[in-house]
Amino acid sequence: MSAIRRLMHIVNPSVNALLRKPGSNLLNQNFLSNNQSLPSLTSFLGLKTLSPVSRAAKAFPKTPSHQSTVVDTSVDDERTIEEVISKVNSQIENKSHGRLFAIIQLANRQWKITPEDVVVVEGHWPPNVGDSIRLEKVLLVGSSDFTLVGMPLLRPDLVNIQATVVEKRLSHTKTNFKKKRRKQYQRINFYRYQHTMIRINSITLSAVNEKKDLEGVDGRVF
Amino acid sequence: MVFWGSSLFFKFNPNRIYQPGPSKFWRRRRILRMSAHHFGRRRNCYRLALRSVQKALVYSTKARKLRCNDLLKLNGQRLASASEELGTNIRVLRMGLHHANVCLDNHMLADLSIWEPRTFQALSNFAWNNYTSQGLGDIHDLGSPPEGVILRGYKRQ
Repeated sequence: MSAIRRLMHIVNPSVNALLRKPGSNLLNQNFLSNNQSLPSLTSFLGLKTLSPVSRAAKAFPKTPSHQSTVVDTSVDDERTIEEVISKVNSQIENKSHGRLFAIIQLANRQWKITPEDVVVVEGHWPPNVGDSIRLEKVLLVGSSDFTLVGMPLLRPDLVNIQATVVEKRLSHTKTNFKKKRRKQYQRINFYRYQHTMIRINSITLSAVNEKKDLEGVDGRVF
Repeated sequence: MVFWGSSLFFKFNPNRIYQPGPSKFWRRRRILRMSAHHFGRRRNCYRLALRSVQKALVYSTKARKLRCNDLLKLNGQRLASASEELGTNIRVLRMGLHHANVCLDNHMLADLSIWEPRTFQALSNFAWNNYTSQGLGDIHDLGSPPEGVILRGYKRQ
């Protein structure tokens, strides 16, 4: 009996893998080899495939058996990039982009912010009320038509986010209560921690320039 | 002329024997205030109220940690389903962004997928292309990555 069980253990996973793996779908392979239209069927032997969208996508181009010419598109790509950057720059120059949003790193957390937001920083944080600060760890800035993504940060001469510390106070009292039943163990502790509210005043962009070798490092202290 | 009841007389009697801590009345009142919104006899009967209040405090202490874990899982699920909607999966998305040094976390990516779908789609397409160009893993099942992404000189790191 144990031998049979062991046998089943060996057989079952391989059968399942054969049936469930979308790449080994016999039906699909036939379609692809004949260069016909892709199947709209998303189930095989009653088992659904993982993603209907990915099944509708084109098959991955496998390495051709014969030698083929690779077209060099670098010149066209450069032209496209220049075109896109000039469009973005014209929007920035005319300030025709709408309200910007940004993703920043602040106090070991990431925040998605937009002007006039209030961010509450929890825990000890040195800035005091009335301080105006510049948020420098900007991971992403987006508008309705374009998005600039930092790798990992955007350069400080590209984006400028100004904020003001509005309020600084303690949170509500939190109760930390521990109890073990029938062991005469019970501890109670109360604590409050600092809340610092900062108001995002503005997010401003300057023109996008040519990419430098190492981004977002100049003028920073680590 | 005021007739004080025996309990009040005991409470304010200056000659009574010293007992540390608040009197019985205030000790009970502290618990009963916390049980004011509980149901049934757990609201007014002290012995039942004490039990339910203590259990509630234990729950709230533990839930502070559990809530963080739940939110981590929720963001992971949201990101997985968002990337599957675009034809990729979360592994390709995360690794494609990781190899381009994009440090957005799961929470932010899930937020972008909900509120800024075009930005998220661009990130997803870029990650898929970047992942393919690195030659990472087996993505033959996914199909070819979407066109229109220009990877300018990204090399394996």
